[in-house]
Amino acid sequence: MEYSIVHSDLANSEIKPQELLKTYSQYLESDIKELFDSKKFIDYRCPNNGESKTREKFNKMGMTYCISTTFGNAYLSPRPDKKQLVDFYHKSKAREFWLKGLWSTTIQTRKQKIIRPQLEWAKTFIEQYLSEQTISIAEYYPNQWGYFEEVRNMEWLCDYCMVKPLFSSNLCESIHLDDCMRDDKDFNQKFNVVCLFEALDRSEDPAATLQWAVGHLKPGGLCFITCLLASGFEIQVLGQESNAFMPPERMNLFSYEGLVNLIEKFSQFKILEFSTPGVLDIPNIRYAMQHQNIEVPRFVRYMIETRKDPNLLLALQDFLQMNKLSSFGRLVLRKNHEE
Amino acid sequence: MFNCGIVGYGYMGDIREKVIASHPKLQLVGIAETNPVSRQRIQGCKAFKSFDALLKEDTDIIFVCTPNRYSPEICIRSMQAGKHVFCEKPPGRNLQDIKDIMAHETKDTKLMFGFNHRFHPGIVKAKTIADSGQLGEIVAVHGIYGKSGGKNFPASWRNNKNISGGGILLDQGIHMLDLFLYFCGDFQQVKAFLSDKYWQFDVEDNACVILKNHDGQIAMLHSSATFWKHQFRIHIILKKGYLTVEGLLSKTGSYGRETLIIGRQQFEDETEALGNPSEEIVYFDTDRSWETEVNEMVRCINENKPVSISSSRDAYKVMNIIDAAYKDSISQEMSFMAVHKPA
Repeated sequence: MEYSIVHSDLANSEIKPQELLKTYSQYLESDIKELFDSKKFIDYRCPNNGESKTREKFNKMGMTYCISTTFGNAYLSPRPDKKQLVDFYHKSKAREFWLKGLWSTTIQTRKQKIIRPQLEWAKTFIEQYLSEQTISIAEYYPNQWGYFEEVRNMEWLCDYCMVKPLFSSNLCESIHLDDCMRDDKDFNQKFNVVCLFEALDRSEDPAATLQWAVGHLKPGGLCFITCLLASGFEIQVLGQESNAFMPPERMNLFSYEGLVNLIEKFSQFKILEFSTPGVLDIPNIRYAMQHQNIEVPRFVRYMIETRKDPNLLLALQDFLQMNKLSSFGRLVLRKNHEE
Repeated sequence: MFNCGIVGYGYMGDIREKVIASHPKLQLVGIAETNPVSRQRIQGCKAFKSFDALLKEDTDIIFVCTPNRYSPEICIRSMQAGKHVFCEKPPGRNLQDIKDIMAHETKDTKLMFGFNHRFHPGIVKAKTIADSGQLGEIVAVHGIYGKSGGKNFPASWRNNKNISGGGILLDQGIHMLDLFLYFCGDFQQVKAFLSDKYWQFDVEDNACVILKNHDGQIAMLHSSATFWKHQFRIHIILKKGYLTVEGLLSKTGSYGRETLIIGRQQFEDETEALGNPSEEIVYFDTDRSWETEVNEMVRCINENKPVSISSSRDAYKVMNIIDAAYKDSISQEMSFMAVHKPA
């Protein structure tokens, strides 16, 4: 299994300007109250082993995250059912603001510093492992169309479709999306590539999402995953105060161990890469210390506030990546050649 | 299933034995080894005192793992006997050796050489990225490849010109030159400096080779038996970035962890701090180069396709450069700088 360390000058303020993030959070809190009926919420258990025992629980925006005892995964429980979630993604003012306000304001930076590098990362694996001239790609559970748009900009020869998109096509004015948006009912097409970009985080059932990927990949096909990790430094240090995740979009935050364990249940998958190439753990903790008055462990405070040495902080972020301890994860899985 | 024979049971013969044992389509019939001490180590298959004895066995593929002096004849006689041949690098001691081998190639047998570095994970990924064009065309390449030169080093047959044909350039430098060719294609100009300053064998212990081709790409190699630690590094400069493979996964781990650095040109403002371009460092932990190259050989045999990677043509090209480098290093056409005495 290979892994990568990434250096990037990406700053959180470029993709989540604080004023816009604040407005988004306000919309979100009111949506959660208005759109969800907590009586219809369903209890959920650890997606790895079904255990209900938790080592910790915390509340965020009126919803409860549980930390599973064995694997340390963080997941919403109780959580909205499928219908409520679909309603949320299509009716929520927060989602509309995110797409029309926050996302569209930051799209150029996102494309340049997140989406394009991520597609180039995927393309390298595709070119290394797949020999087909035209690659078929399914992006499962996308909550925006940035990857689709950038694939077009890259003039990449591939058939790209978005399966079960979590947005309405009428929110996108720049390109016609209907032709490439699909539901997965009666959907038997098989793909060379399935992209689960933050899809496990959003999925009401992550194991079922991985099962979908296995079932819809051709033999030897590749599955690309990006996700937040509960075992990552920022989420471990800041916990519920971290702005990296908000309910209900981030329903499942796996730990490194939890995600490896879940994938290993699918014997048809082999992990080619598992990296945590996050660059924002330290800057986000520093921001939270400065602006949210959050208590962090003394040693972390010492490094960030007292030492302040930028080289130390860069080296610390490198250390986190090197040891798969950052809060952002990416994986490449390959399906066996034998069905 | 293909029956295999190995000729030579030294370092490489040992590796090939393991690769054959783990391959589902290969079966080891026997190993020929002239050294009785080494021959005693052979277990689980027939041990032969000579190549002639092995050649009489029912084999499909012969793995030639002998010192350079013996490889050409074994390759040629194996092909004449209708065997497919996998020969370790270098393909003999000099350019004439590979020419002789190529003259005996047949349509019915496959011939592949062990340029396994092409199959190392860092190189495979770097090649994929370079070929994709995302970083633009290759401008220049430079590489260093060298050994620590331990206390047993002088006793190696590799330092005996009569057996090896050359020194560190032919032993290790050949891999780097092969990679230069793999990334850039052909080179037409060669300049070389060789030295035996430390070990004073009858072969070089340091070699610097500079190459240029019609596309204007330049390449530079320093191959050395006096680095005092094992080192491998190839740096590929492209129009929009760079790729660096550093370290090499090996049996002992002595070359360090294999990594690929992918750097993207940023054209920073030179008045601001420089030297921190956007980089990605990929770490690898599994070397399947030995298996992958043999898989490729088996695939070519199975599908009856010509060998297209690490072929005799590739071997010829690299030996042509080495031949030119050796000739250039002893030529009289040197440019000396004028020495000016201070006023």
